[in-house]
Amino acid sequence: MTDNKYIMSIDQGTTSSRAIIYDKQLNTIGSSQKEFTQIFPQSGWVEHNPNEIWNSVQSVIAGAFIESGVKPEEIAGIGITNQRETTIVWDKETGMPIYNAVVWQSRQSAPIASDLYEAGHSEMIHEKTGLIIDSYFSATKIRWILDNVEGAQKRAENGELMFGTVDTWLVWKLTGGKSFVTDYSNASRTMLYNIHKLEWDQEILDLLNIPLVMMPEVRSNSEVYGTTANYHFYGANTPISGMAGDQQAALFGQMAFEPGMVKNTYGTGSFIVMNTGETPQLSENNLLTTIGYGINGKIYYALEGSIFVAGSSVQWLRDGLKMIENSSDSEALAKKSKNDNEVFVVPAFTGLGAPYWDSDARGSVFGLTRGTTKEDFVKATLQSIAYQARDVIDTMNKDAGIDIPLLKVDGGAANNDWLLQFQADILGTKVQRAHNLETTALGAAYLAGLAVGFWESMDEIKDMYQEGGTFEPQMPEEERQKLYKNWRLAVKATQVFKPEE
Amino acid sequence: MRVVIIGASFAGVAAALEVRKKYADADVILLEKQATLGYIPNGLHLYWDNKIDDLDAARFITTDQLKKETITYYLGATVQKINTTQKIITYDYMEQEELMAYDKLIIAAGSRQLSEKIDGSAQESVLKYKRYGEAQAALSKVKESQHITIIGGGQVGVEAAHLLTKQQKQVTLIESMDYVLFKYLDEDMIQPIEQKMIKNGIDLRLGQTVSSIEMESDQKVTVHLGDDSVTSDAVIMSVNVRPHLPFLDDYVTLHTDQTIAVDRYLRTSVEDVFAVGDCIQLSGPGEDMVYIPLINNAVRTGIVAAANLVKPTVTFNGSSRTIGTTVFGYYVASTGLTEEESLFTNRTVKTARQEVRLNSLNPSDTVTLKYVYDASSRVLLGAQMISTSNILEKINTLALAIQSKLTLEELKQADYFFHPLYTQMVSTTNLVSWMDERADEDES
Amino acid sequence: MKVEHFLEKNEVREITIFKKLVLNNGILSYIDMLDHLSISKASLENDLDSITSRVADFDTQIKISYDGQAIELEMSDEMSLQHIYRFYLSQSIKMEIINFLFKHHEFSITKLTQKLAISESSLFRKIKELNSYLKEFGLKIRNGQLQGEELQIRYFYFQFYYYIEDKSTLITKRSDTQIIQTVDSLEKFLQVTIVPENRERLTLWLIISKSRVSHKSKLYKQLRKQMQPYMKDPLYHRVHVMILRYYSRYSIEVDEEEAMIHFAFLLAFPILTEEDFHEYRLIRDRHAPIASLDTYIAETIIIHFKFRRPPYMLERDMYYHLTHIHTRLYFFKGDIEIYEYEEMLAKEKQIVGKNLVPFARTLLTTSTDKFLTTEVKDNSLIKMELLKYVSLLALISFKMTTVIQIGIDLKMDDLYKETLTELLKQKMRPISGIQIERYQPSKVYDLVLTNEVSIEENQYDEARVYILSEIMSSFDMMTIYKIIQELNT
Repeated sequence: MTDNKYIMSIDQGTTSSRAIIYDKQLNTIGSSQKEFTQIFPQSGWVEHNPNEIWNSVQSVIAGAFIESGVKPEEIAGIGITNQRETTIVWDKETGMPIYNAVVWQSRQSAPIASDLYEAGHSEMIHEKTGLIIDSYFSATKIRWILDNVEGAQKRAENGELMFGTVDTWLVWKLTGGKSFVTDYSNASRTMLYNIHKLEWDQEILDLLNIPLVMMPEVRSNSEVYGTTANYHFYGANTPISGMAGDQQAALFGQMAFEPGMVKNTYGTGSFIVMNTGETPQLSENNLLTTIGYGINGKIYYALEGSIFVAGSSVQWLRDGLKMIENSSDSEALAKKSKNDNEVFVVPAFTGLGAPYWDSDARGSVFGLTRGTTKEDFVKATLQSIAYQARDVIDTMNKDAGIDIPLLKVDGGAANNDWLLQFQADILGTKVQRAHNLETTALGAAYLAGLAVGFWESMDEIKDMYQEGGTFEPQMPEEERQKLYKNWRLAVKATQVFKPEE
Repeated sequence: MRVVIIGASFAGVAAALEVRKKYADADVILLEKQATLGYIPNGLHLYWDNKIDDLDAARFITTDQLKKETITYYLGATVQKINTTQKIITYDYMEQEELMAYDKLIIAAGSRQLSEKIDGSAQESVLKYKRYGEAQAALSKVKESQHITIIGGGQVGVEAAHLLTKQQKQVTLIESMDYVLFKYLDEDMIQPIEQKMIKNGIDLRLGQTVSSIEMESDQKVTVHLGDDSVTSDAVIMSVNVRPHLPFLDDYVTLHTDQTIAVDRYLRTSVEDVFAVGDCIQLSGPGEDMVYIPLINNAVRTGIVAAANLVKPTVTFNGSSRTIGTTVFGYYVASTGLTEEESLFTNRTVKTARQEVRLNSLNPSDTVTLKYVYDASSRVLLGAQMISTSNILEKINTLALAIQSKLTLEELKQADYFFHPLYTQMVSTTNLVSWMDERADEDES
Repeated sequence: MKVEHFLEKNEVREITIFKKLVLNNGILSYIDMLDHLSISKASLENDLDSITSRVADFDTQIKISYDGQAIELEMSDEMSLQHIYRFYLSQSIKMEIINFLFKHHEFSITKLTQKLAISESSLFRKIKELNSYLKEFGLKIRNGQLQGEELQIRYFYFQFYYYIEDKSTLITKRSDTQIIQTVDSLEKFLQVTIVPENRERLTLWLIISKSRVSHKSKLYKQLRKQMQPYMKDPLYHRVHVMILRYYSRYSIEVDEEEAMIHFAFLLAFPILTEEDFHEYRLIRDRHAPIASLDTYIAETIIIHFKFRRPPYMLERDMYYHLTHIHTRLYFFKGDIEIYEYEEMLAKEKQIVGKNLVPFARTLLTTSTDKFLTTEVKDNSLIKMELLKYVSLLALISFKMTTVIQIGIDLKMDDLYKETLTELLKQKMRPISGIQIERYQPSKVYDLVLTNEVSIEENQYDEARVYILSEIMSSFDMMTIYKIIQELNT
C-alpha cells in the first residue's frame, strides 16, 4: 500500500464538485472541477439532482487523472469532504433517488422545524444533538421528503429506502452499493444524532417518525469504509478511507488538533470552528455544538459559529455600490484610508447571527463625516468582517472556557493581508494563514492518508504544516478596546432600528 | 360429409359436439394422440387440492358420452402428416400407419408445455403435467420430493406453488418478469399475494431467467439462473405453452410464432381446413392478434369453427382473457386489458382503483378492484380483482361489460339486486366514486 | 468491408469510369482515362461496351458515347452517382446471396444455384469471397446459413440494409402494423420520443429482429459476457420487461438475450433523442465500461481544448455522440466503410487542422486499450469510429471557435477600393468562423488586411495585420487562411 504515491480528495461542494490529487509532500499533482445544476423549484427552495452530483464526481475523478497522468492504481486512498446537511433519500434496490437532494439552505421544511420548536423540543434536541432546531439540518428534510413523495413513508418503514447526506451517497455509489455509512461530523449535522451516546437518537427519530432502518452506519472520520467498485474509479479498487463535512475537514486540514484551536474560513460567509477537545461543550449563546472529528477511537468536539455576511460584503461594494472594480482592490483602498477608524459598517443584510440572533436587524453605517472617503468606507467594510469574527470567537471563549492562543485562517478573503492584520489587532491574538488555502480538501486527504498508512501519524502531518504568513497583534490594547466597544455600540444601535412594515 | 378433428381436448371435443348437433348425418371423427380421453389439463391441481380422490376423476368428457353422440374416436392416434391437396391424413394407430380422407378438417391439436431454450428441460425428470400420463408421473415424483422448483410464475406455476406449500413442501418459484401473474394483473395489484408467498416461505426468484437444468448424481436437479443456481428434488415446468404442429404441409400458412393463421371464421389458408384452440392467435383485449391459450377460448373457438364448416356464418369475436383462480388465501380474477399491456395498444388509458366492502355487515370483507378504461371514451377495457372472499363470479359481469363496450357511466347504472347479506349499498361492480375511501386516479 | 466488395472487379472499374467522368464535367479523353485506370485500351473499350449494354435500361436518362478519342457522359438531372451505384449493386450476385439468406435463413446449394442461375463452383467462389469480408464481423456463411453471434448477425444485416441494399424497399415491404405498433410501444415503455429519422432506423432494426427472433439455436456467448455489467442498468431493465411482456403475447419462447440485443442497438445508434439520452445518462449504471469511457474521453477532450467551463449543451452533445461511438466499439465487430476512409480523413484534416487527427487517434487508442481491450486493431469499425471522433472534434472546435473579426483596409482610389473589397469578401466567404467587413476605425478587429504598410504605429491596436502582396492572389489567400487557423487555436 505504501508503494502508492498519491491521495485523492473529492470535495463535493454546493455549486461544484472537485477532485484533487496530492503527493506525500502535499503538492497538488492534478485537479479538476465541475459545476452542476442548481434547481430552484420554488422561492427559497434549493435542490440538486443526486445523479448529476454523482456524474460530476465521476467527471472530476477522470479529469484529475487525465490532467496529472496519475494512474488509478497509484492512489493509496480517497478522502471525501462534502456540503453538509444536504439530504438524499434513495431506493435501496434500484439506487434511484426518490426525490432531488434537498440542499442545506433550502427552506421547504421550515414549517416542520417551526412545529418542532413550538412543541417545545428545542431543549431536548439541543441537549442531545448540540444543534438549534432549524430546517438547515437533515432531520426535517427527511421528514419533508417522506411526506411529499407518495408511498415513501411506507417504503421507508419496510426498509426499502436509504437516507444519506452527500458523503453517504457518494460512498454508496463508489462502492457499488456495498457501503452504507456516514461519519461523525456529517451525522452530527443531521439533528438526529446523539453526540454524547454516539448513536442515532431513537426519541428524535420517533418524534419525526423516521425509521431507523433508513439511517446509515456512523463511522469514524479516518478508516476504510469500502473500496471503489470496478469502473467507478477507472479500473482500480481503491479504499475510501477518509470522510468529513466541509467545515470539519477544514478544521482538520488546518491541523487544529488541540483544544482551543480555532479556524476561520473567510468565504461568502465565515465559518468559525473551535476544537473543544474530548468533551462536548454546549453553548449558552446559540453556537452549535458538533463533532469535529473522530479518529483513533477518540472523539473531538467542536463549537461552530457562522457569520452570514463576510466576503459577500466586499462583493456588495463591488456589485451593489460599484465602489471597487475587483474584490482584490479592497486591500489597497483600505491601506490608503487615513481616518481614525471611526466609520462602522454593520452588514446585517439578512439579520444578525451569533451571538445576537436578531433576524429582523438590517444593515447600517455609523460615524460618517464630511471627510469620509471611499477608502474609509471600504476599510470599514473589511473591518466588519473582523469585528464579527471577534464576536463569535469571544462567545466561544465564554462558552468553552478555553483560551484561544491562535486563529488559523483560510478561504478566499484570507489572501487579504490587511484584513488579517486587522483581525489579529482586533482579537489581540496571533493569526496564522495556511500556505495552502484549500484546507477542506487537504483535511480530507489527511484523514484518508492516515487510515491507509500513507502518512504514519498526525505528528507526521503536523510536521508538514506550512504557514502562509503570520500576523501578530500590533494595536495597543487601549485602541483595541475602544474600537471593539464602538463596534458593539454600532451593533446595538443597529438593533434599535426596526422600521415599520 | 366426413369431419375429422385432430385433437380431443376441449377445443376438439367442443367442435365435435357442435358438428354433431348441426349436422346429424355427418361422419365425425376425433383423432387423439393420448391414450385416454378428456383429462382436464392440470387436473393434478384438483387432486392436490383434495377436490378429487383420484386423478382419473379429472375428466370433462367420457367415451360413453362420445358414443352416445355417435362420434368416432381413435385414442393413441398420432397424426404424422396431412396432405391438404388430396385431403388425406396419415396417422399412426396401434403401431400401424393408417390413412384417412376428410371433407372438412379441424386442427385442434392443442399445445404443450416445453421449452426449447432451456437446456435439459426435455428430460423426463423435469415435470410437466398438462396431460394425464405426465400428471401420473409427476404425482409420484412430487410425493417423494421435499424441495420443488417451479419454473414460471403464471397461473399454473402460482397455483402449483400454493398447493405444494400446503403439503409442507419447500418451494422455489422462478419468474423472469418482475412479478408473478403479470399477464393478468398489474404490479400494484399483486403485492398482497407476493407478500403472502414470501410469508409462506416460498423462495421467490423474480426477474431471473433459467438457462439450463442439470441432473445431479443423487437424483437431485439443479436449475441454473445466470450466475446463480437452485438445487432441489424436483422441477416443475410451468412456462408458456406453445403449439406443436410438425404434421402440417406447406400450404397451411403460419405466423412468426408458429401458430396457424386463421381468419375471423377460423378458416386457415387452405380450403376446408380450420384451426382452433391453442393452435391459433385470437383477437385479444387490445384488439390485436395475440396468443391466449385458455380453455374458455378453446371451447368457444371449437364451437365457432363447427358453425362455419360449410358456410362462413359466425365470426369469432375475440377473447377478453378472463381468468379467475384462488391462490394463497386470495381470490384473484382478471379480464381485459391491464394497464401495463395497454402500452402495446394505441389507446391512452386511465385507471381507477378502489377497495369496496362486499356486504352491509360490519365487519365486512372487502375486494380491491382496478379498472382500466379508455381515457377519452371512458369505455371499460379491463378489470382486476383481489379479495380474501370468493368474488370470482363477479369478473364475468365485468367481462360482459367489456365485451359490450360499456362506459364507466353505464356500468354505474347496471342493475343489480340488493341483499344486505350479499351486497352493500351499491353493488361491487357498480363503480361509483363516492363509495370508496381509497379511489386513486392514476396520473397517466 | 467496403461497398465495392459486393461488386466484381470490372464492375468497380466501370463505376470508377462514371465517377471520373462526373468529376470532369462529363467528358474525358481516352489518354486521361487510361492513365487514371492504368489499363489497356482494349480493356477500356470492353468496359465501355459493357457500360453501354447496362445503361440501355435507363433509356435516355444516362447516355455514354465514345469514339476512341474521348468519352462523354450525359445524365438527366434526377440521376446521380448514387443511382449508378445502386444499379450495379442491384445486379450483384453477392447481394442476392445475402438477401436470400436474410429472407430464408438458410439455403441449399441446388436451390440457390437454380435461383441465381450460376454454376455450383462460381457460387462457392462467391461465398468464399463473401466470407473473407464477413470475417471482420465475426461471421461466416457455412452449411447454407449465416453463422456467428446473433448480435453480430443483426448488426451486419442492419448495416447492410441501411447502407448498401435499398432500405426503403425493405421497409415498405416488411413494415406491417405490428412493427409500427412496436415502435410506438417502445416509446411508451421507455417514455422517450422517437423522431422520424430515428424511427426509420428503428423500424429497419425491428424488421430484421422480427425475421430473426424465431430462428433456432442462436449464439450469444460474447453478448452475455459483454452484458454482465449491465444487468442492473435501468434502461436495460425496462427493455427487458418490455421484451418479456411483448413475447408473452405470442407463442414465442423468447431468449433473455433478445432484450440485450435491443439494448445494445438502442445505445449504439441514434435512436433516442439527445434529451432522452441525457435523462438516461444521469441514471445509468456506471458499473459498466461505456459510462466510464464516455466520461473519461469527454474529460480528455475538455482538458485538451482547455475549456474552463464547456457550454452546457455542447458537453451534453459530446456525451451523446461519444456514447454511440463507444457502444459500437464495445459491442460490435466490423463495419461497412460507407466513406472512402483515406479520402474522408484527408477532407476532415483540411477542416479541422492537422493536429486534431492525431488527437483523435489518441482518443481511439485510449478507448480501445484502456477500456475495451478490442482484439482486432485493423478493421473497418475502428476506422469508421476514428472518423467519428474526428468529426466530433471538428464539431466542438467549430462551436467553440469565437468568430474572428476581419477588417479590409485598402488604400487606393475609392472605386477600386470598393470593388476589390467586395471581391475579397466574396472570395473569403467559404471560410467559416469569420466576420469580414470594410475596416472601420472605431471597431476592434482580430485581423486587418491592407495593401500598404501603415506609417502610424499601432494604427490597428492589437489586431494582427497582413499586407496583401497581390490582391486576390492564391498566395495571399493561403497565407490568410493560415493566419485564421492560427488565430483560432
